[in-house]
Amino acid sequence: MKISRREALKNTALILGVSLPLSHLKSAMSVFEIDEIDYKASFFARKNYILLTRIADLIIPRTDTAGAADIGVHRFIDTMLSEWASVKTQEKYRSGLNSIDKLAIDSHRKSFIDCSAEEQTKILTGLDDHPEKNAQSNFFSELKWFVISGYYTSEYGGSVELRYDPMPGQYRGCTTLNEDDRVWST
Amino acid sequence: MVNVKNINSNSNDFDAIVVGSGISGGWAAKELCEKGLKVALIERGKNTIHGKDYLGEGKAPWDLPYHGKIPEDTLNNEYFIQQQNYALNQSTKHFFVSDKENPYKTEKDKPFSWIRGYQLGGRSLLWYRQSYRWCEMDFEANKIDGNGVDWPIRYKDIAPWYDYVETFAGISGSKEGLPQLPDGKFLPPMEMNCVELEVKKNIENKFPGRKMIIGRCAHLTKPTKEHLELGRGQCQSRDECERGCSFGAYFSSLSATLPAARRTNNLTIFTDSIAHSVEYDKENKRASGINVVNSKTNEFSRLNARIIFLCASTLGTTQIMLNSKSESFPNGIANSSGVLGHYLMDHIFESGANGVYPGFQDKYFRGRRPNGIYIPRYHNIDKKDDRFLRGFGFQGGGKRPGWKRGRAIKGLGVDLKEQLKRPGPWTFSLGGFGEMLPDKRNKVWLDQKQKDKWGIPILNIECVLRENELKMLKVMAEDAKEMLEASGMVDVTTYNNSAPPGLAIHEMGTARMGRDPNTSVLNKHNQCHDVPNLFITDGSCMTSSACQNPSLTYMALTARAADSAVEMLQEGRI
Repeated sequence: MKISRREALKNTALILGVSLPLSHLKSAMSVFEIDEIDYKASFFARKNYILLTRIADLIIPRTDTAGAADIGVHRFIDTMLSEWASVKTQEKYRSGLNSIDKLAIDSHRKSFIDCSAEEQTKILTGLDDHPEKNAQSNFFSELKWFVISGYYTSEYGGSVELRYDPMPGQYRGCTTLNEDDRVWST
Repeated sequence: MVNVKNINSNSNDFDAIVVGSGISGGWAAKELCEKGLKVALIERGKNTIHGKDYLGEGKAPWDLPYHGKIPEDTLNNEYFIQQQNYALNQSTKHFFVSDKENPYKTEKDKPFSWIRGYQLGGRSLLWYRQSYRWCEMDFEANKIDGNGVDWPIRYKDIAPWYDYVETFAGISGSKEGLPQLPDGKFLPPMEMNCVELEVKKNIENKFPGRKMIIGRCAHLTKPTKEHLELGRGQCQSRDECERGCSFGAYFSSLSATLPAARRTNNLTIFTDSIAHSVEYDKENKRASGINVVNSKTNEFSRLNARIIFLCASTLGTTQIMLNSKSESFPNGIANSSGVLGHYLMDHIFESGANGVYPGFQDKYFRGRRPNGIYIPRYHNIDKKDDRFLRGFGFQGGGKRPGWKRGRAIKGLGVDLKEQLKRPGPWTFSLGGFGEMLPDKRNKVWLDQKQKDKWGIPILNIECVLRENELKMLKVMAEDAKEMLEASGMVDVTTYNNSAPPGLAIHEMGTARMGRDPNTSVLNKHNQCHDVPNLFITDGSCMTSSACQNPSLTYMALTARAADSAVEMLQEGRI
């Protein structure tokens, strides 16, 4: 599927709605824009790659720190699917992403990527909150975990978003947790 | 009899051969070398150099291939058993065997998880380092309730050897004065965190007879001169020990016993050398050497020595012995009793409870303590429990989980991200480790047909949890829940996962010690009743399993046996 330029830019604007004071964000360009130019996925077809990127961004969005799509968690997942995953897992991700897109088409008569941010969030929240497990909600919880673990095991997630202490030296069992203390990443 | 050529015709004769370089083999090599014997140490796996070969050490998740995860096809094809172990990932996979290359057989409905590390240092690189003494009650248990045979030793026989090995290895712990868990020669204990201190107080107040102590572990919290001289240093609280520690802060053969053995200049190490069988000299009624297969070339050779220590791991040693067939011992060397291969045990585990502690939200911790808490056994000590024989202890601890709790929490977007930036509420876990009774039906034997790629018959393993174990597992989960609830935990959930035997990696027995040559393989010196210059000091020698992690006991038994063996050798008795 060809993404509409207009929709992509609309989503870009939503993503960029938050101000970006951080110097470590290399570019203020939208992840969608970058991927339109630079689609180099090894595993995902273009359409699902863009869908994955958008979902990653909705799970861990850009705030005052970078979000999952900013730091390339979608690229990490693409590499994992291409090199790490078994054929069975590959098939699950292909059909799983297709099924999320189908949810959008069924409920909004348009592709997930063409839905508004509110509609997209609603679809994902529906899967996340799903009271009875089904194939789609199971897939989404796996995908969500893939995005979360990909983000926090990345250098940015592990050492900028959270605190990384490679050589603590000693263990202190009772320290004070200050209001702005972030969690240890490992 | 195997037709062989010598590894090196000029230097194939040694005073002693030690087979295996893990915890027991490392100790045997050190003790025998330090007593002046020329020792050949045979290791079936590859050479591993302390520090240099710790390929995963110090690597952040993002510095590891696939952020540390092993490709799914590799897991399923190469590590279909090993993947059950928590420590297997990209940073450690070079320390685990390929299951494909090292097959064994079990019945479909009777799984046994044989977790192995074939390299210099063996599983001493991978162990969880918990180090507890056995007590008088543990050595008397078989005699009292009639399961298994009586141990030929008592606590007083091994106590000085516990002192000796603890001092050298470096065991951190607190003195508690508990009869069921004797104190040792300890380095300073590690700290408990706020929640652990609170839970300790509550458990000890509400359950007389129960204690919660900091784990006793083989880490240098304050190295002594002896440790420093071996190049070992203080624990850095990284908690990635299974990757190897170039500080030498935890005890392993590579950090401690092998450097000590090497500095005597009496040690020769042969890696990639699989012990095929023990050669028996029927004229002299002695073991004369080890038949070795080179793991890379499949060539046979023989090493000869005056005494032999088999320390190839519980099942490894028994496999070698069963494969050492001769006219004198058609069913395996030193097996006139027929018990070789029988009475296999492991610890029963994966039963316990988890809870959430609502308080101490402003408290946190710094550093990653490579250790938890321990609740020593409290059942069947002063009063007999009607439900089961013997007992169990608990390991566990409190922590504030980080981003990994994201797997279980609902939500998306900014809320999720902000939540995961902060530690979660304190959680506390208790998991039991219980004693398994010795049972003749739990056994290993050589396969009649299938051989491995080196021509050695593979093992069949049959090990089943029975009534006493199943009852104990049930009580473990109930007790854990009761203690967590009494300590103020909420959302307490229990689990009892039916873990396959073997997975606790405390496999023991199959060449047990005993007083009677008709019902045991080894005497009180870990010496074969049938073959006086053959000693077995790894887990296969165990007559019962107690519930404490066994490695410290293997160390003490090995040092003690080496002392006896050298004395006998000097007196010309063997």
